[in-house]
Parts: sequence; C-alpha cells; structure tokens
Amino acid sequence: MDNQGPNPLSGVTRRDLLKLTLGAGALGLAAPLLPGCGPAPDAPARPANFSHLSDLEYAVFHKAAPVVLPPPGDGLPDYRQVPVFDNLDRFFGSFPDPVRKQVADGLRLFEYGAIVIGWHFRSFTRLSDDDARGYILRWRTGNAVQKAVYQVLTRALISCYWQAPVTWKSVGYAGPLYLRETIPSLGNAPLPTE
Amino acid sequence: MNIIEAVHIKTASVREKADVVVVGSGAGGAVMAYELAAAGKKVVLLEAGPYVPSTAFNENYADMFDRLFVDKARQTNVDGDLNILQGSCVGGSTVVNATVALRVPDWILEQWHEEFGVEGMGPAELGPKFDLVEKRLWIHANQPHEINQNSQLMKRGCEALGWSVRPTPRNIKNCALAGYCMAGCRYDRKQSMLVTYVPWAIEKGARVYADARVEEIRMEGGRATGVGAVIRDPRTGRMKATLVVEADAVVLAAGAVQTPLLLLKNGVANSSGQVGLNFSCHPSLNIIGVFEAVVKGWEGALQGVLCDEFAPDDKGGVLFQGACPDAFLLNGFSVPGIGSECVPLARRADHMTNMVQLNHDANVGRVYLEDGMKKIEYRVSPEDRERMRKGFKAGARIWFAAGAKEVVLPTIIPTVLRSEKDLDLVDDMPMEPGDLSMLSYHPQGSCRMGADPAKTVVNSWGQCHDVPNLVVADASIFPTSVLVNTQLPVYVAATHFADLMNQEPERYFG
Repeated sequence: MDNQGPNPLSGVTRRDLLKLTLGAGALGLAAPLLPGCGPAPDAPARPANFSHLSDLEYAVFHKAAPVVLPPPGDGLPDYRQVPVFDNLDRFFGSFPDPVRKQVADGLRLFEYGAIVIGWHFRSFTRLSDDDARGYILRWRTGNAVQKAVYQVLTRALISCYWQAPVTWKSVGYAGPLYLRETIPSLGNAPLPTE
Repeated sequence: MNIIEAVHIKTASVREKADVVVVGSGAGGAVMAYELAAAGKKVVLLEAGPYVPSTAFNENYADMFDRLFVDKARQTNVDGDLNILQGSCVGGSTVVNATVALRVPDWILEQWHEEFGVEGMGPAELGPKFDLVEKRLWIHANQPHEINQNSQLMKRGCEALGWSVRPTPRNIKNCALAGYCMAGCRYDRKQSMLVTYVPWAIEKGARVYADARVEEIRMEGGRATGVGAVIRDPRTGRMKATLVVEADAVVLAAGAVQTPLLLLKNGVANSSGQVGLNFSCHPSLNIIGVFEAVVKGWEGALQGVLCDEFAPDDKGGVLFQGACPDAFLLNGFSVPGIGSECVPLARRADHMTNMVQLNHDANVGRVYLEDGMKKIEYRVSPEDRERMRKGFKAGARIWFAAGAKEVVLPTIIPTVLRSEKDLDLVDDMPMEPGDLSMLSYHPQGSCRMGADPAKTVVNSWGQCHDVPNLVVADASIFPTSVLVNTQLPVYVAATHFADLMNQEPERYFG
C-alpha cells in the first residue's frame, strides 16, 4: 500500500488533538471552580527546587505513583526511597517545547477528565486509591488520545523509577561496564588505503 | 578532531564557499563528504547536533538520550505510540545504532527497478560497493564469543524449529562486549561515522561544522546555490551565529524526517507533491522470553544472531534480531503493565531474553509541517497488523522452543503467553492505535526515488527531479522499506551517488 496523498487518518488525528487541546483548556478553566473538582487540598506541595513540573503535574504524578510503581514489600525497592520525582522533574525539562505543551494539556485533561469519565464528579487527585487505579486503567482502553496520555503518565513514572541505579541491584544489573573494567579505546580508524 | 563547534565561533555571521555542501553527518552525509573530498572537491559538512566525543559516552541511556538523540529520544508519531529514534550528533544515527549491517535483499533492489524504474542500483551494480564499505567498516558476521546468552537461546529456539538463524553481521572492530551500542560506543570499536568517514573527510580537507542547523536552501534560476544555517550553543539553545555556505551542489542527508521537512519548509523540489509522503519506519517490537534460569541478556554484545526464516515478503516480511537492552530500558520501557501487574515480570529482568521483530512495512506515513512544527503521521496498515500478528506467533514459538516459561508481547495491556497453547490469544489482541508499544530505528521513504517525476522526488542519480544540483543521500530515497537495518543500505547509496558525482560532474554541476 502506498501513500499517494494526504493520509485519510490525518483528519481524525487532528480532530483528536483538537479535542484534547480544547478539552484540556475548557476543563482546566472550568473544573477548578466546581465544588470538589479542583486539585486535592491535601496534595503534597511541589518541592521548591523543582523547576519543570507544574504543581498540577506534580500532584497527578504523586497520586498515580502508588498505583503505577512497584508496591512496597513486593521485592523491589520502595519507590519512596528512589528519586523518582527528581528524575521526573529533569525528564520534563528535556521535552521540546511543542511536545511539552501537549504533555501538559494531556495531564490537565487527565486530572479533570475524572469529573466526567466514570462520573466521579471530582478530579483525579481527589479520588480514592481504588478509584484512581480504575480511572488509570480506563484510560488504557480508551480512545487513541487517552491511550497516549496513559502511556506518558505510566512510562514517565516507571522509567524514572528504573533510571535510578538503586533499583538495578534488585534485578542483578551491575550498571555501566566502564565503571568496573578498563577497556582501551581504539580511536579513529585509519584512512582507507585502497 | 578538527570540528568547528558553536563555542569556536566568534562572529555573528560566517560565510563559506565550497564545491559541495553536505547537510547531515550520518550514514549518508559522512560518506558523501569523504568520497567527494577524496576526489578533490572542496566540501563543507554541516551537522545540526553537537560534537560529542566518545569519552563522554557514559553507558547510561537516560543521559545519552539527552545528548545524542533527536528531541532527546522523545520523537514520536502524532498518535504517540511510535517512538522514532534518530541520532542528533556528529556521526548521526550511526553513533547510536545497534551496529547491524545487512545488505538490501536482491528482491527489493529488483522491485525498485521494476516498479519504480530505478536504474543502476541492481544487485550486480551495487555488489562491489557493498564489498568496499563492508571492508572499510570491518563488517563481519559475529564470531562465537560475540553471541551472548540472549542470542544463544534464540539460536537454540530457531534450530529446534528448523528455522534459518545466523550470526548477525556488524560494523565493529574487536567488540568490547559492553552491550551499550545504542548509547554510543565508548571504546570506539563500533565503526560509526564518528570514527571513520567524518575524520577521513576532514583528513581530505572537508570543513565540518557541528551545532549548525540548516534552515534555508538557497535557490536561483531553478538551481541550488547553497544553504543558510543557524549555529546554536547546544547547552543554552541560544543562537550564536548565522552561517551561509555558497556551493555548486547541495547534498541533503539529514535523515528521512528532517530532509523532507527542509524541502517542505523551503518549497523546493516538490512539484510532484510527494515530499514527505510514503514514509515507512520498520516498526520494531520487542518480544520478551522469560526463563527459569538467570540469563542476564544484557551482558555481552548487544546484537548476536538473527532469524531470517520469514524475511521474504511472501513468507511474512519480518526479521527477528536477538538483542536485549539493559535493565533500565527493559523494565522502564518494555515490560508492560503497572504496579503489581508488572512486578512479577520486572523482578525477573535478569531471567529475560529479548528479540526485536522488524517489520517490512507499507509506505503509509507522512512527514509534514503544521504551523511550522514537525508532524509525523504513521498508523500501522491493516496488512501490517496481520504481518505483526504472524510475527508475534513466530517470535513466541522461538522462545518457547528455547525453553522459555513465558513470553511477553509489546502490548499496552499486558499479554503474557505461558505456552504455545496461548498463541491463539494473539489473534484477538487489540491492535488499534495506542495498543502497541512500537519503536522505529529506521525511518525511510519520505523522498522516494524513481523514474517518474510526477510520482517520485529524486531520480536514480540521487538528484531531485526539479533541481539537478540538489542531491538527496539518506534513507528518505528508498522507494520501499528495505526490510533490513538502514545503515549499510544508506552507506552504499551514498557511495554510489558520490561516485556518480565524481564520474559525471556535468550532470550535477552543469
């Protein structure tokens, strides 16, 4: 199959993204004004040294972490002892600007989408732990945009957990080889002689 | 190495004059720069990414994603279910690839001739050029010590099934067996462009700029007259200077995403309307085996063996390559599920093996600009979904035949097969956008080569149909997916076009 013109799926994609942007914008503006629909009042404050995650994003990740990351006592390091959120803040600082904006829109939609998706009538960060888990899993079987947000939310947390060297020992990974062995560099290859 | 970086620039504007300016220092650009400079041409080579010496490669993927990859390895399609990995540094993707160096199958080269009218690039014509590049880059089939436990198990599974399996050919000299090819080879064993054609081009007089992103293709009277670039400090992103290179010919080798974007941005070479269309990417899928015994699949050479039993299109059009990444990549990106769903698997990362399923996909994607921003549209075609399903079943059978207790498929909702009896589950697996976790290491096809100017962008000499002294020499020219890893095909296509430019200067330089 060849592509001999604009992809017929492109309209769908753009509409999906438009819906995401408009949805995130509208919900982000209106939802916090509704009773019980703003960010959770007991959400932990974003550490002062964080410079890339917004307050809302930090609260969303904080709420999602116990659902997404290995539960304490399961044989892997307790995520609360791993610098997951420091890694996340750095990770968010590395996004190119347009991607960063889309991610921000997606997480805002995720936070306030809980009001109507599943009719929780409250934002994600105000859900019980069981409802939070159910809500996250619902996004994994939703439309393409929801699945993309699910992936960003969960993969960001999981990869920032496994990025920490403290987690490696638990699965028998010793880390970079050059820290353990001295292997000489061969340098640049000589100019061809043929 | 004598590379001009932003830090070396002391003026707000820089001008260069050359016979040829080459855009991109990866597989296509580095080869073109060397071959043209070696023939006496005055060459300027421009790389948008930074110069990162191999001493800075710290075998930590999280760090190297930030320093060596396009968009810090966050480049995705619009749907967000395909992570498209490309290098952005001197040497381009060759610095961060997995070293697999395979020839384009003859049947694909013949298809290019028959269906697209490509001339002079058949198996007989390109054979000597493959020989030359393979010799220069130490390309050889893996020796027994380069086949780690991960690949030993894959080989055992294939042999038990009677399926074709062989040591993977790689461009590597005395492999250090570190396993971090995709984070850059700290030991300069990988014969990437960073340690071969780029320094060779410099030795032949080419001037090489890093941190120089080309924004403009300068045109006059239907011919390219050079390029305009912006030099930015890679640490701050701030503009340091503008750079104009006047040249008699321009070679674009920025890769199958950036090359069409540059043409589209400048409104050049697109009378066919085909620039950016026909994008394919070899969607790559990880199939994980879980074994009773400890494997530590990440120890040793990254790529060991490949199974080409299903490589021909009529047998499936998929290749399997044995390659297991480190625990960060494995658990961070490949093991599906969340919380207690994934813990039983993640805890056994050192019992896991991995193979990459490469799919010979249809050219259904598109690269374009929207409000000035890059967009990559790619959704797996219905035919390729079936190709993938068949591949999943075959890959799972390999691991089970090798003794795996479980096989994990690359789905967002965890799919864990516990025996061959579970293979039927693959038939019902959801495969709508967002259901799979896909990678692309081989974007290609977005400036298709062929004889018909109405349906293709470049001709068989690499020239844009519309602009004879504007040459494209990267994976964007491939009329169809090449099935195999793109580095060797690009080296050879660039060698071929450079030979033509040297042998037939009047065709290019007028």
